[in-house]
Amino acid sequence: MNFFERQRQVRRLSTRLVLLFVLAVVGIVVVVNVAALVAFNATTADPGQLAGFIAMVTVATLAAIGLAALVRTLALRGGGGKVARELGGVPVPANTTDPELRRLRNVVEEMALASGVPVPEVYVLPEETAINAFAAGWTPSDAAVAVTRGALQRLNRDELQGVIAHEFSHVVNGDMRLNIRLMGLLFGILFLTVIGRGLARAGVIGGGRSRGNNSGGSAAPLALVGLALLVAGYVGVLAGRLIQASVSRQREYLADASAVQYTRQTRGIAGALKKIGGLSDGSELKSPKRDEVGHMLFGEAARTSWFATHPPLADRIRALEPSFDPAELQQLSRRWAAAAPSGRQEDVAMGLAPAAPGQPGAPGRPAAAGRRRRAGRGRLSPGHPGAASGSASRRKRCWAGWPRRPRAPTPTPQPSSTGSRIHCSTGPATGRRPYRCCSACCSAPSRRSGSTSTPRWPSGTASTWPTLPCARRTTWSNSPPSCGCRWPSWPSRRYATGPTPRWSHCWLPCSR
Amino acid sequence: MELIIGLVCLLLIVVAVLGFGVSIYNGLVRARNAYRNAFAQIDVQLVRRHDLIPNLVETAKGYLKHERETLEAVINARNAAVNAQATAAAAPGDPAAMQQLSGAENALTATLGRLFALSEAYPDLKANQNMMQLSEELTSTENRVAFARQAYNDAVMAYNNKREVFPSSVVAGMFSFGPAELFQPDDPQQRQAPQVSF
Repeated sequence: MNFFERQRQVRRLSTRLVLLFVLAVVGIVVVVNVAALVAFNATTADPGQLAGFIAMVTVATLAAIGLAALVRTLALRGGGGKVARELGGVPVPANTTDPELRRLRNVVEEMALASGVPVPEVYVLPEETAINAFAAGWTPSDAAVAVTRGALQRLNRDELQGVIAHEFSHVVNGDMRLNIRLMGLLFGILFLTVIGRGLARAGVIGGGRSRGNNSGGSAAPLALVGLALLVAGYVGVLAGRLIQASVSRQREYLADASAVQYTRQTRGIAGALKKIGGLSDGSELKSPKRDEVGHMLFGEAARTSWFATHPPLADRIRALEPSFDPAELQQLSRRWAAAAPSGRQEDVAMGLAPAAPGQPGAPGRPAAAGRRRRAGRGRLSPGHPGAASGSASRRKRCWAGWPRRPRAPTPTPQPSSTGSRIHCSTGPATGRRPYRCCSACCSAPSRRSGSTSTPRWPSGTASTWPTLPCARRTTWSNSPPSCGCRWPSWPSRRYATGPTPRWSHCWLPCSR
Repeated sequence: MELIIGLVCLLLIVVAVLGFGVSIYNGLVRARNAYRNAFAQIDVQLVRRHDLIPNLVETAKGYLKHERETLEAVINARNAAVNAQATAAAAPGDPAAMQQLSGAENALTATLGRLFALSEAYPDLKANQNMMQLSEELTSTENRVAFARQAYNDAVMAYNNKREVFPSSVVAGMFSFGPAELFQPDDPQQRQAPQVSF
């Protein structure tokens, strides 16, 4: 698949469709003008007046459409997070330790790199068992990406990456913006019918009254204009919706092609589409608000129709894999009806994740490792010098993620033979003792042996010590400062509040 | 009268040409900044990778007591990569520094591969919770490094396209926009498919 070429083709096509939409608006203006000219019998006026009349009607029509569109657009353009929460999304924190959520977060951050946009907010829709995902937001900087629980469970890492890449391409290509604008314009056209109905009613009532007064009607032309507005508006809305749906379908092809650009493989996204086709849940969402995000989803939210926002699955897969045979979907669906696929097992099979201990890829229990870890969440204070003297709350915050273990005796780290080489930079001579930050010294407690490992200096010489993040190299204190924990995601340099610190650092006494 | 019209036309043409030139120049500057930013992103991911490795070694150390050389090789390769990265960060886009960096990173990848191959033989280590999390983080980091390079290469391609395509090549020549180097593995062996024997 030559994705750059394909992107160019699809972009050209969707630009033409947007032009078609503009043409529809022009058509409406022309119809309204003709109706107004006929109604007010203005064709006999001199050219100057005629031009003024046409200009007035045109400006009035465009202003009505434009104002309504503006109001609607402003209402729709909230941040992506708002949309995700309205659909029942639960935010995924940056420091999550659940294996599935961690994988999702990592995949999202990887795709942010590949597509060159900031990392969006990440949401999970825990109520939805189908495979789907959406991106929402007006600009890349306030975007949010949400995936369903079904997608997390059923898709393997490659497929999830394809789905997320597809959503990122909606963000990068400005599809959310385009769609909100089109929806605004549609609303503007719909607003014309409201005006038209009002005018027609006023005209008919006014016309009836004037006939009764026998004074000749000036209101009948108003009814004619209203009727024209009504018809043009409805036809326009119908045409507009059809065009919007086909724009949306083209943007889906574009997003698929861009997803291939970001992941540089077609297998992942094609596999995700096959899973949607093969599983009975498909991609149908339960949320009543699904239509609002229909055009931003990965798969079709409702059953397909003329107004489908997505091309047929088979066509999408064939664009990715020209050799694809739709009969394959039926085979897959038969196989998956017996045993639904599990993304994590497939990861293990592909070597993308290690097998959970004790159950190497046991069928039907995909999230067993995650469940056990959650169940075993407890408090533990490993033996490091800070645990002895640090406040209890800090200790909890730091070590909350480790499995419950009996408190180990707290050994005081001795810089052993290398101790004499540790020098602190000169600091304030306040009588307090200097401590040097040592990042790798408090290693994680080992799960198997049941004991916490003793904090120790890293091996090697001072020059080869790993330079891990320490907020400050040296500190001065009367008692040993407590150990801190740091989440490794750069560049957010904040301390982790959640469980399972990845980096830890301790303060060890040193000589001045 | 004709003279004035002629002058106005000439002025308009000059302004249009100047405006066109300015927009090309700005586009070139934007593309250059984009690829430099993409390079900085690779750097960020390499730092992340370098930061993860000591923890990995620390976790593995308890189990791999008899594989001291491998662990030391990993740490040495990491330190070499840290140095190469510092050199390359000083001169982004410089071909020589880029070559050195990709060499050091390849060596690091090779030693890490050896470490993971070794860990296959130690079920205790494989089952270690910490090791499992680290291996997810490393999988992700390897992906990130790859994606960051890919984004850098895409940005370099966009910049080089801009630089060499006709009308903008003139502007690029006038203001000396140099060529940018792609990030690629320098080891020809890496291009060959790995041999698997059972």
